[in-house]
Amino acid sequence: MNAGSHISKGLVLKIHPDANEGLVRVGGFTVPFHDTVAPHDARATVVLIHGTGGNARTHFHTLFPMLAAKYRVLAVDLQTPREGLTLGTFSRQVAGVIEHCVPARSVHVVGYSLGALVAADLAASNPHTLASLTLVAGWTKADSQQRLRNRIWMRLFETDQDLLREFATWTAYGHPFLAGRSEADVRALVEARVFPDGIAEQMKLNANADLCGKLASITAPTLVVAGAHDQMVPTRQTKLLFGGIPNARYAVIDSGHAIPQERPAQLFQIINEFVTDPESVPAGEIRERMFV
Amino acid sequence: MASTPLGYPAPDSPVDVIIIGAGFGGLGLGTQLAREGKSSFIILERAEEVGGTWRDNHYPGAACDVPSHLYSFSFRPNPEWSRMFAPQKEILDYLRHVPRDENFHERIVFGAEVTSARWDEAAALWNVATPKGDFSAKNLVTAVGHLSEPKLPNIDGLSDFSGSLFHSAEWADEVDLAGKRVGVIGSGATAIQVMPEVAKIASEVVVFQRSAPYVTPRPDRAYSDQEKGLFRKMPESIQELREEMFWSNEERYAQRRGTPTLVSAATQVALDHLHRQIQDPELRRKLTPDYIIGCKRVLKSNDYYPAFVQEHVHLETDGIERVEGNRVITKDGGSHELDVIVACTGFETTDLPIAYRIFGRNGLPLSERWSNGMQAYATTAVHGFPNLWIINGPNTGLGHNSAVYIAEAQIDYIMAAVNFREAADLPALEVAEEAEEAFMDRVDRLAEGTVWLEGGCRSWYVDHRNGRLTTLWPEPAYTFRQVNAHFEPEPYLTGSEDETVEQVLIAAR
Repeated sequence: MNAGSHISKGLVLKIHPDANEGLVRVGGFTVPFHDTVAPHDARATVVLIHGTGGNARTHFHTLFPMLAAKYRVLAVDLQTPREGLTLGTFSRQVAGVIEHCVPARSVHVVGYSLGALVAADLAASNPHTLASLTLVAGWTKADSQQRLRNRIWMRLFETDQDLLREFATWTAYGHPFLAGRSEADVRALVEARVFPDGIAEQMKLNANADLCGKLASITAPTLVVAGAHDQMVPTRQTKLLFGGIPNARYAVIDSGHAIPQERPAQLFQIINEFVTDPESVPAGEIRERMFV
Repeated sequence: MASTPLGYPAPDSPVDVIIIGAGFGGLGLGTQLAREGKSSFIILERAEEVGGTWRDNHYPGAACDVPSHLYSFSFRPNPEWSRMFAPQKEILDYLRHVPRDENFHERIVFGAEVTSARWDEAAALWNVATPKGDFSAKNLVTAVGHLSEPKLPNIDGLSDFSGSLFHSAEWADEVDLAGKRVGVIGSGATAIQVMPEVAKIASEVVVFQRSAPYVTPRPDRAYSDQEKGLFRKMPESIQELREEMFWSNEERYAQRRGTPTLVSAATQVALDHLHRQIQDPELRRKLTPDYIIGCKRVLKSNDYYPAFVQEHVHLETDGIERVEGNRVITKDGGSHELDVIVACTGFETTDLPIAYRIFGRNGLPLSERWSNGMQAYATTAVHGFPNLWIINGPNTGLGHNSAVYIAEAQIDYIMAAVNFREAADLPALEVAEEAEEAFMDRVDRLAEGTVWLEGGCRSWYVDHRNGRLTTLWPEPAYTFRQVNAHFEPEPYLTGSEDETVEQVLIAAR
């Protein structure tokens, strides 16, 4: 086989060779999912929930295959209504996919960014579904710093999407990550940024969602993962999640907000350790720095 | 730091540990033993200088392709690295400083190539013979590397070549290549560093390529004075950089599991690099690999492809038939007249020569134990070879990250094993055969579906005697540390009664 021949631009490759792609009808939405289920696969299931403007492929292209070597992995592509989006809209879609694919079994749920809020909402309303909960770069309720960024984003979305691509790249990645790349690499990151349908609705939800009343009712063992250089969800916010969830432990990655892009291998190891034995780091503790 | 003069032992008094080899592995273990100061040790080194592969491979252009802040000991950070990818000379200097700074230089016996190491069951000692005398120790650690024995290609007439012939790891400094016609056999990690340098002075260069490598951009640059000053004043900044490099390399592991989206993205990076640097369609075709990326080592170079654009550099892909006089004859009958041949043809990796010199219980040679391919429990211990510990042996290579990180994990394991045996007052630790087999079954399972076994290439990662992945670790580097750095005594105590095991464990703890 010639190396050139298996590169075909435009062809959408599966997120993983073992992933079955399917659709579930949930409350008026047709929700796509990617599931590595195989006959007799008794391995634990990890459910992945993406964040704003993303989908399973764009946010978990590296994390998904790393997890799939050890777990059954089920990733959801969230569907956004034209209006009236709430965390419940999304968490019901995830619950519907879990119910369809992994009925009557508890699963490990991992949510990233807005997906972390969805995961927390799911955990609060379906306490028996979750074997564990991992919240990556999530927050409790947008504070003034976050709402300021959100307003700049909205204004640029309406007036100058080229500039928004630059702004969103600047806010998404950590300073060390961007500083360590060439101008050409950074330009490629800017150009690759797209604004899919529904992203503005999701941004409104980012500004308005409020988990404060729900955190105390989350019973699943929880891991809160923070990006040390996150400008979109500063660590003050991830610490509040850690503070609000009774059975939570805390881990920090030297990354910006785009943890699954900047440090997928480290994120994988942290999730893998936690899922293997959720109580190995006791509730209330901070995970020690990983030796390298 | 050890201040007690454990020093150079008398020839007839056994030491706690003999280390074979003074490269990264041996010097790393030496540092930890010296710092702990509990065990006496010596290092037997066949050459007259430390440095291992970084001493031998001093060919023009030699450099590391793992960033230097990562390709160095975590316990000896170096703020002075001049570049992201330091040249060979600087890496060798770094290693030269280790035994002097850590106060164990006098424990290295130079010119002491190990000719045999035999386990004496009655005395529970390893007896080691060298031209510098015989030595004995309770523990024997081999740290000879897996890129230490140059391998020449099996080509008809090569040894009778009438010009100069040498292997890249045995570079003949006395042969002046200026104005010469030079043949470079091979297109691996060494060849791509050697060739552009040779092309600067030779009158003609012919690269004999069996299969084209994947070559990606090499993001090298010099560190500024401000950066080096920062590294000196805030050592934690070195650690942050090291972690960034480590996790960025770890990410490439996902490609090796044959995930099509990631494989195609990685392939695109390499082919874009080729297409940017080579315009000629015929040359592009010859330089395009015919296997899946990662199956063989992915190379980094900014000057390999451009070197082919020069008039006096040629790429020969027809395969070598034989060598006659000063001519290399290719399979299609073509012929190249040459003054010098540089064999960049790699190393003996699956059938390690040191294994022929180590004799375990009942005199069994390690090479015989490994006649169907090498294997070890936790990559470090072999049944039938009590108190033998192997650094850089089976399943310790990586296709994607730093070998020094791996050696450090093994060093931690060996330190704990040596201390446990001493504390438990056992004559020997020998791993149970079942534990070793179970470990290898696990490695086999992990290797399934990786690009190394299923990528459609022939590489030094796989042992062709058994089709197993015996040189590489099939998981992420971080997982290597998780699985192989922590010594657990149980697999070494299976022969004893349960009650004895209890007592030993209590005594040791």
